Amino acid sequence: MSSFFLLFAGFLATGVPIALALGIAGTAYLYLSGNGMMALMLPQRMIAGVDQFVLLTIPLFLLAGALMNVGGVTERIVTFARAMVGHRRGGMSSVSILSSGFFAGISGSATAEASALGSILIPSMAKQGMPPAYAAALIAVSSVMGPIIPPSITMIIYGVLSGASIGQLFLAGIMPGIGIAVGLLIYASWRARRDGFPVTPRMTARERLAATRRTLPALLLPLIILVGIKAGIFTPTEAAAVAVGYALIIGFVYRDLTIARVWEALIATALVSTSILFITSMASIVSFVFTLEQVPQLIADAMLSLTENPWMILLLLNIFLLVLGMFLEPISILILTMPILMKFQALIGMDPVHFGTMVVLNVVIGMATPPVGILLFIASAISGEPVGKVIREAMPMVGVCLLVLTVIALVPQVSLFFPSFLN
Amino acid sequence: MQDRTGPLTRFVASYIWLVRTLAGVSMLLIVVIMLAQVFWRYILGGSLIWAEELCRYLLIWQTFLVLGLAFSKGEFVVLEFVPSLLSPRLRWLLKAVMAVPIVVFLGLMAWYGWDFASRFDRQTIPALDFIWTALSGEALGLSIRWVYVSVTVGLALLALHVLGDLAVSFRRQVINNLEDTASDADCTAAGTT
Repeated sequence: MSSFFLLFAGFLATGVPIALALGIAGTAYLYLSGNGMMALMLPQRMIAGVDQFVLLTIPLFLLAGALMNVGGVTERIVTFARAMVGHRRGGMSSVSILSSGFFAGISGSATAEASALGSILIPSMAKQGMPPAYAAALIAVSSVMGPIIPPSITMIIYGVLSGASIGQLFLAGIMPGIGIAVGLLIYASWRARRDGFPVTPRMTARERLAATRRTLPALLLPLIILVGIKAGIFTPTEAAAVAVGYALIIGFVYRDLTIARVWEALIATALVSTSILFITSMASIVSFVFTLEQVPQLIADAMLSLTENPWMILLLLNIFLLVLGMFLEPISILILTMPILMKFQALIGMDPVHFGTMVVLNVVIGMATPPVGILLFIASAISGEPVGKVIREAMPMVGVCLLVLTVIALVPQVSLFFPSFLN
Repeated sequence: MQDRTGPLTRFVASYIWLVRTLAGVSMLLIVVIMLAQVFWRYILGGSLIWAEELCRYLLIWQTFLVLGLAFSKGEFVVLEFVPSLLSPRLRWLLKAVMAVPIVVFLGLMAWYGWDFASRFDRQTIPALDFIWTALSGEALGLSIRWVYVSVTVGLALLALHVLGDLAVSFRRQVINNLEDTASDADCTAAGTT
């Protein structure tokens, strides 16, 4: 098992793409452990890693987000957030957090969120006199809300792998999403007071009303998805297709969408989803190899030999996931660790939806932690600031997210508020 | 760019055009079929029983077909921990060395993938048979092998892209010892946008 991790880390550090590092290390491990003839079965695993109906939600939700973005919805959301909180001290930082929260309601992906909002908001925060590294860190960490506030690609994958209800998981994501938004807002206003960020004049009541009217249709999308899935009108995959249809309709009604833009969005989405699906495909090679070598059992035994106290197991499990999250992206973590996770969920006796919310929140926070925090890299590339500086600014904000994670893990009533309320 | 011969540049440009077009068409088909499915079920009260299967196969082909292009466009998540410490020349060398296990792995999987696909020669695609029967009264009889063969095609193309990117960045990084930005990816896509 250690040979797998050594190989994987070696490939990763030398610049081999994560997907290929997973596949090569997994295959090499198979040969090293004397099961080389099983490699004949790997292409079947690669196809199985993509050949699932619910995985269609990945390109579809990405496409809905892309269409909203080129259709001018992103700008509308930012204007709306400015109308709400722009007049506060260091207003643009609060605007960024609020925009991220709203954007999370139309996009299920953190990376899509960081690149769409970062290109608009990082320059405008810098223009308002905030350090660009701080602006970049704020976008990176706020984007964590993307897969927490429904819809969420990560939660769909979790639901498929674990059998937990996707509709319930979506509802359970609302409270942690709000928690992160509030936590970051408090931190941002503290920073704004401490560093004396400037204040912008308040918009007039008429401007605010206009901004609300122009944004409302976009903000209705999460409601349509939630109601649709909860009421059993459509499956998550169909909900994703409906989201695309909705994005097309409001894009053409607002007249920001053209056929050429839609065509480019289709191609760009195919390219981005391939990079995600190739990871799920390669991760399912590794999970096959792991199962063959009984790695989940080994890890579970190792953890149980340390302690049998449920609270300690919960803590260890979260640390284990956070460490994995430093190196891997959420979907591959879920594919790789699901057998272990299921074992521990039964052992601790946690509610499946509560447990799932905790796990998803945990692995998603990993996207904003170094060294492989993809969100930090995206925000750093947009801002032109070195990753190191962005990481330093991001650390306290990641702390805010970890605080939310702790509350979610320890108090089941928080994440289960909406799921039980609406049942 | 200047050292490229005319026919090669034209060939690469038309290959990229073809892959992009197929990717766009595939995405469009998925969206249209899924929306049609929802429409049929809730407005017309029927169901398109072939929709789910067809969309899955489209997704498989789409995923593997555009792998190479996605790689060259820099869509893959890469951690450049060691490379960022090296000079452009050494970085190219490291990339060339790391290309060996990558190409061996991709070649092996492409080979095994062909083997795997050929085992399904007699199994036909039910969704296409169903549609064809509705249209012409006869089953199409297309083997499911032609879905699974996408792994071989995609991984082979990806290996070619890995080698092609090395060749394109050779001049810039090794001869001129210049920083290799995302420029080689842009060069490959230059003819298309």
